[in-house]
Amino acid sequence: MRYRPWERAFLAGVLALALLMVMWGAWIERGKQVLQPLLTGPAGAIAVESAPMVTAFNQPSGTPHALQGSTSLLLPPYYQWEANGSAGQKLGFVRARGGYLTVGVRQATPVFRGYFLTTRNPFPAGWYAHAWAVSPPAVAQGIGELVFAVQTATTDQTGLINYVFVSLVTTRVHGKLRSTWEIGYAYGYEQNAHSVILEKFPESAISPVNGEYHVVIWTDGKTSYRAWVNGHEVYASNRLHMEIAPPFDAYLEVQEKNTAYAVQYRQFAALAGDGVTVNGLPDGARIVWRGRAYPAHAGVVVLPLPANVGEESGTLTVKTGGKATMGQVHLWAGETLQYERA
Amino acid sequence: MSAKSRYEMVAPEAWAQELHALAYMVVSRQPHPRNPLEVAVHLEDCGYGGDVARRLGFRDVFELAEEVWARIPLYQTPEELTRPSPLGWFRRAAEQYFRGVGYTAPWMMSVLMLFITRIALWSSLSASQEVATAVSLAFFVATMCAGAVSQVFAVRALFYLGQGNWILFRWIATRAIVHGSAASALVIALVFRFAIAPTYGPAYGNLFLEYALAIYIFQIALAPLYLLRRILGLAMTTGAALIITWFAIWTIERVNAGEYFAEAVQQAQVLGLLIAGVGALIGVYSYAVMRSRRQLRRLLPEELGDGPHDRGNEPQARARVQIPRFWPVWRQLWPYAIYGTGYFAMLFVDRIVAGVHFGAVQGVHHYVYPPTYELTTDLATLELFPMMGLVFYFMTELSDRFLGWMMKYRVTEHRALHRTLAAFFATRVAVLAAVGLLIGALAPQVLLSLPATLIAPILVAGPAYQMALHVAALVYGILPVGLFASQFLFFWGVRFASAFSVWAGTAAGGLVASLWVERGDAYAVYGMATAIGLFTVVTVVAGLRTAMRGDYQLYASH
Repeated sequence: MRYRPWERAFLAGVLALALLMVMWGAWIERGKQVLQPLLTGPAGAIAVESAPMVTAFNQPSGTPHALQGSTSLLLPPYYQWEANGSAGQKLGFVRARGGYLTVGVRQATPVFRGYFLTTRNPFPAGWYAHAWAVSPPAVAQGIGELVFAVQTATTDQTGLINYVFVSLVTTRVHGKLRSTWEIGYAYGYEQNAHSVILEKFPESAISPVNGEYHVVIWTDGKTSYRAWVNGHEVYASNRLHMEIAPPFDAYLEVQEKNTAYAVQYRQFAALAGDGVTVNGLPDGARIVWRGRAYPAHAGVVVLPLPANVGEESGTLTVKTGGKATMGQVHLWAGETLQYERA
Repeated sequence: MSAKSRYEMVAPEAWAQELHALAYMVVSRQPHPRNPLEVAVHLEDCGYGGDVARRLGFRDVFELAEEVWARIPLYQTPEELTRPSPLGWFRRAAEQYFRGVGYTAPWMMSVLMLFITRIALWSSLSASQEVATAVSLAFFVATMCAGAVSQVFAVRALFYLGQGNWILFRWIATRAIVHGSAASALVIALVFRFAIAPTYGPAYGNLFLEYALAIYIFQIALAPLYLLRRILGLAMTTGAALIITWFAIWTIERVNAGEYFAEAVQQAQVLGLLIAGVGALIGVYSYAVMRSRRQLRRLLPEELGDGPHDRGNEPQARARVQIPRFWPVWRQLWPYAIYGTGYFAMLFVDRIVAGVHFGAVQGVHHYVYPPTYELTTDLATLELFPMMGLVFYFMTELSDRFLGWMMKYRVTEHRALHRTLAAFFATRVAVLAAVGLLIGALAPQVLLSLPATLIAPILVAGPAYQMALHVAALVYGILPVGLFASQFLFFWGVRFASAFSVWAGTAAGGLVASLWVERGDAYAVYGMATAIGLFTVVTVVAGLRTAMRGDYQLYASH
């Protein structure tokens, strides 16, 4: 019953080779994570170690095509998103042109109909969902809505469509145009969902910046919900009972009733939290960000960048050993950077 | 004066005892051998091949067998009276049929749990596309590896179990499963290094490795239970995996205040598969050790040895329990490994092509789990539950009737035996094909009336996938014909035809699926039809040819 010497050699050799292959594979995977450096110079380089989830709709989209086994459509090259909605494929449309994503419904319908582009890779609870939307158009009649929503990604399993939303509702009352921000949440099954409006205020309360609104939603899905528009906190509560099971998907959406309507989005981001972490810095190194110096502690510097602000551009300088690497960079909150020696 | 045999003329008196010992050995292995050819098979199996026979002064093993054959009656006891079975024909048939259906217990339990709880073994209806892709790739690789190891183990272990030889059962278990598992670990590592790591992200890689190892261990643990016909053991192992998975999820939910995350489900599944798989392996191996030790205690020390072929020119101990060398055994078994891998490659090829196409639809150039195509083809496989009972029943019937035929027909009556064999094979193939096609034609209506929550993707996806379901149902209806034919071939020791047919089916199926998938991944089902159709045709033709050769084939294979 005992193994013969060649059998032992075979077993040892094969298992050692298998281990070697796994280690080699792991090394290749690790190597793939290294991205192009943000900055290079005499004091070393800074590369992005973990990038946030950002989509800029700056490439023209191709013809939407069906996703297997679903009514959703894929919008090449934005494969991390899918389009769908109650307006259906005949009335609803999505396309990216000139740096903007347009989501629309072609014809007026007597009841509310909508169309949306939603993420296919959900993000966890407690992340900050950002959308940069163009100030929506007026309506001649009916109701048009720009809706940015964060919804449970478990709808396929539970049938529940629980979500939070920030919407800009445009309509005419006695012939006068009226646009209102509405912040709320909805819960229940698809056909019988109830929505709760938590906050309402006129569009005029916040002015668009360069014709755009920057909408941010943060929620834990249970009791806490905060929303910002162009940097203003427009709602905050930690006493809700929402029961939105994480993880979440973001929805860039349009809704209409009795009017053809379309809204535009420029960019989307889902960010984990505040600050930009720079790892792997040598002892005594300092990072200068937007004119202020931050010394490294145990090789780590966390640059201030609030998650509800999302992105910032500025001059970043790495100083170590009497040398400096400097340049213009665009940083995202929640991003992790890695320092590499020169 | 009676003529002395050449052996008796040249052999010393002490050697005459060896002929008696060999006769005793043959009778202990087979109480009633029917002819010298069967004696020769046993002699060769125990190491008394051509070389040893010539060393003893015989022309070949057949001449040695004639001498041993002459002494066989001295060691035989009167044959027991054959009593009619207390069970009627129908009850015996029903028992065999349901035993065959019982072998699908792990599969049935996991499908049932999947529909009730959405999580079972390695499957999860709630898995994200990334997780499903990694788990699916792991399942393909692990199953192809386990298929090869199980086949090699089963063929040889069945041979030893037929002799009630637990010592050699234990030997092949430690050789086939341990060596095979080491080779499988290398294959999994190679796939990880060259296919997964360069193409997918690190999260994919970790999941792939974890699931591939867990699925492999679980599947390989079921192989001895299938062999020993322990349906309860199969059900208990599967049940343990399911219960551990759910207990782990419940614990995680409790700790995390009612929430669990997808990662936790994956860890719970891996935990369930590993604990149940390792537990079953330890249980079966302990059982084999216990049985083999009991057998060893009954043997005298001089009856154990490594066999004459292991000792060179040293004086030989008389051997009844001879531990074979693995290499000569492996030279006989490798076609079964090729078949075991190829069989699953044939079953997966259309799914892989559909997945690569689904990836291309999403702008990536690698396999992505195609949920609707997988659901469509998985649903069609449900019709195999009733069919597997028939395959098992026909194979058991062949074993039962074979002995009767061999005793009924004399060596000079080959043609009558061959006609009987061919008629048996052809009628069973016809019955299986008719029942399979009937079930395949009716199954889609039944499957499409399942609760909408289960089949919604197919209904939503439109007519192409419903067409795929109809085609897949017919194809899986035919698959048991190929399975029966390949088992029939293995019964007669035909090793290459089945191995060739599965790989020819895989190649042709892959090609056809690649050509059709441009119209949509549902059309990959034509690749499945080609693969399984070719496999079935080749094995049936080879089965008929083998039946026409019958016993010649059996002797040639040994």
